[in-house]
Amino acid sequence: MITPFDSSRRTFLKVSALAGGGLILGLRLGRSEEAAAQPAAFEPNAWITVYPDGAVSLVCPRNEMGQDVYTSLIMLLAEELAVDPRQIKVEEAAVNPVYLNRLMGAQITGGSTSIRDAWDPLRQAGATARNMLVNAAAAQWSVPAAECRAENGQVIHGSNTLPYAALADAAARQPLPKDVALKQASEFSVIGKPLPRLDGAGKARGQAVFGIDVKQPGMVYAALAQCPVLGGKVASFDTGAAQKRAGVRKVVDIGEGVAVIADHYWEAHSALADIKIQWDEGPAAHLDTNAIYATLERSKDKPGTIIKQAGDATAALAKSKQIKARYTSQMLAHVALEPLNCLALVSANGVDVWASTQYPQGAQAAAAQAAGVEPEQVLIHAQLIGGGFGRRLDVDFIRQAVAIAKAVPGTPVKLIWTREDDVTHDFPRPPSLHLLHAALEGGRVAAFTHKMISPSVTARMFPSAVKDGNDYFMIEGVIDFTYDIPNLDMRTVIQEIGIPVGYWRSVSNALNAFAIESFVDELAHAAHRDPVEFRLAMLDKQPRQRAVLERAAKDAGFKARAHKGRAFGVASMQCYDTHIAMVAELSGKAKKVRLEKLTIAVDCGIAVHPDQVIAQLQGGVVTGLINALRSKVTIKGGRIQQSNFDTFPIPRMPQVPPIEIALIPSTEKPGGMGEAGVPLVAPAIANALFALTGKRIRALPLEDAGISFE
Amino acid sequence: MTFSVDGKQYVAVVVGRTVSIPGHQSLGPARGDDRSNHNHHQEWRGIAHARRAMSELRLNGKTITVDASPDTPVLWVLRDHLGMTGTKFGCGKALCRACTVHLDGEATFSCLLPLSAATGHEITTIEGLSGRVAEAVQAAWDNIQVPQCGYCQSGQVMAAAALLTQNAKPSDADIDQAMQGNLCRCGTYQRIRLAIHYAAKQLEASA
Repeated sequence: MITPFDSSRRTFLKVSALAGGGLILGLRLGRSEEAAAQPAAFEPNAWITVYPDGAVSLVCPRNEMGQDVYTSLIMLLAEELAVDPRQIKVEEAAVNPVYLNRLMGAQITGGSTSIRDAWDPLRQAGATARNMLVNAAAAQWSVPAAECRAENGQVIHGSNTLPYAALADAAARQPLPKDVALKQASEFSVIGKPLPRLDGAGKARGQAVFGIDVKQPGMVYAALAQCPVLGGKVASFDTGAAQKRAGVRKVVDIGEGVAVIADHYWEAHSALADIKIQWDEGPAAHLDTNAIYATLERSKDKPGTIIKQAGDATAALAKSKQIKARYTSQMLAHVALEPLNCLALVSANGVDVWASTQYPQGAQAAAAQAAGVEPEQVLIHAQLIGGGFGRRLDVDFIRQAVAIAKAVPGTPVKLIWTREDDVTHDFPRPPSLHLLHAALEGGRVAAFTHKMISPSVTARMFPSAVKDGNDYFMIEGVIDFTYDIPNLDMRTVIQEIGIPVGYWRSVSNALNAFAIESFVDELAHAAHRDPVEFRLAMLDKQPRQRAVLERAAKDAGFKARAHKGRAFGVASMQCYDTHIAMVAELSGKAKKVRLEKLTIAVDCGIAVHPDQVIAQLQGGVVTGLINALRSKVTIKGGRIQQSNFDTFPIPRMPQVPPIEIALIPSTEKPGGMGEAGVPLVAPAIANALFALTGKRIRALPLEDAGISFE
Repeated sequence: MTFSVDGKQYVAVVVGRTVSIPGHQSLGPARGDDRSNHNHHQEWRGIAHARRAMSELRLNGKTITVDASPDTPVLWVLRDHLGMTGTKFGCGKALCRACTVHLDGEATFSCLLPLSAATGHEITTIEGLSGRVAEAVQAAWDNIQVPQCGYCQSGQVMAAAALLTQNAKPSDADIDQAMQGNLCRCGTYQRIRLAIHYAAKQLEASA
């Protein structure tokens, strides 16, 4: 499990009465000593509110970006609170330590952690509230609480029933129960059961409000010209006729760009054409893609940080014939479909920010810095996200919007990036270089080494979390290595490249899985073994991993050898506490192939919302295809050369093959599912390509090797 | 219908169910693998001066008046001047179709359609989408649980409703043809396809 930050936190519960009646159950996450020392500062941060009219609301501590937190987190609560989840109103959390993601150490939505983090505390919050409601009813009826039960928003004793609404006030006066028992998996009536997404109907009717849709009275718009060279700044500019245009209010220099503020977006956007800007292009101006990979290459002999070691890999390699390989992955843009945008209001009262963000806490800090105020003076109104994929962990667009809004105090300004702004000013996924060595003995792997060289996103965003050269997000896909190999040596080397890089859905799992699962396939072929059998032989101690691999191979009808122009490739890994295996089936010939089908088996422990686990896998595959097939970001003169969906293509409907998914039933704790579908797509397809054509491709995207996917 | 962008004249031609713009990049069967490194960025920003003017627009069955520069894309007239945010901005280049509306019943993008070119045509947006087919499509979206982030889904629903209005029983190939312009970054394509088949069946059963 990824715990790069302080996770030594404990959960505290607190209840308080609502003014006007009702029950608020607060859940405070913090250090135990802090809570003990400062009981007076113990805020009633509401998670659950039971209103006197019977309405129940839950503050959702994570941001909804399609991954289903607005439904699946509600299900955790509803299960124990004994209410129909469809009756719960979801409220977005403000920035507050109480909503910290314990697996990430900050108020962040990412890392496939939402369910894993909330699994215990939200169920405890629901159970505690239910317990108090039952106790209140029992007191009213003068019967033992043990004889009462809660069901569907009411407490029942014999033929007596009381709705929660009638009990909320009395429940808030009940003592806080200790050690409430949580339901056993066999007792679940919400978790693991079908439920329509609570946010689904509005999204099919154009009624969902995303960040870009938010309106405020007197709102105006801004468009921003940024330096084409990453990291460049404004040297000087001439506004030309821009200020004479209809609707234009102001031209603002914010250092990293020049913005036009206008009554309407199109007026602001069009007026940018009039402004002539001289840029100070900065140190990246001479950078190109080849130089970036050469920089990684130059670090190949650095010892790096040891992530995993067993036996003596160096000695074992020296004894046998070594098999070596070198893999690379490309840079990628995030291209969330909702272009980056932020509505900001700077006034005497402080700063208000309405934004689609995965990182409200970081947004608050960035806004405070841009406005020159304290973080406490910034209110973040987090909105539905039209796609995150890691891009909205960065807060550059929020900083910019606040800097622009500062020029027109009292007026809300909505900054909207174009798609071209989004692609050319992305924080691309890090490029990576992987060096692998192995030795075989008796058809088994005797030694295996892997060195991953890549720039570190974490070093830029959370520098204090990188200790001794170890970026916990670079070791993904390595730290959970499932194969039992006696001599192992796995390392990472952080090598910066001159431009900032960003977290991209599945982060290093995708980089490392492509290299490792392709190389394992090479070893299987070198050992003249069936790639599935070869892997299974190293999974004796991994029953869950074995099970998904066997199931995916069986469901796909996996065959090691190409037959009648069809071939299979397999890949397998553990990530986010989830076990997954994938088989790709290809048809065609050397240069022109067709992706026929992807077959997946997954064991994610208890699937809280099974239909949406499937949805995340279906969608994860499409993100995996972006990684695998043809998309890439390249740099020339410090500029990202791609700009829109023509030059940075993402899969369209006809390009996505049938995807068959088997969910293995489990009573283990839930694993993360937001990203698990992504990493194995590339190695499964690359391995199938080898089976089909005999050509091993060791660089992404695969089409760069002269192969074309139909 | 003609309109100009960057001083260049374009003619929008309705071909079957898709609209193509000769002279612009291909909007046809989009592999989206144009590897050229044209930077459309600069080109797109070079729009000539324009002043606001009153324009009449037929929108969701009503005639309304808008005070906007005639070169303003219908997308921004809807979202910004009229506050109708159901129609989404995704790319500004007719590459993603998040901005799909119906123009005289045909699904088309609104991000490259200037206000001046829309006058005299009937525009329907997701807010005004109604009737038997629309209800079947949206019920199918609910049943199949299509949306994830949901940002593209207004456009997907508009495209699907136009398809089913013209083709009551589309094949997979028909669906590919009609829907390939609409990107979904979350990857809900399998469910979109299923939901269109489901809606077609429901419509057939209730016919």
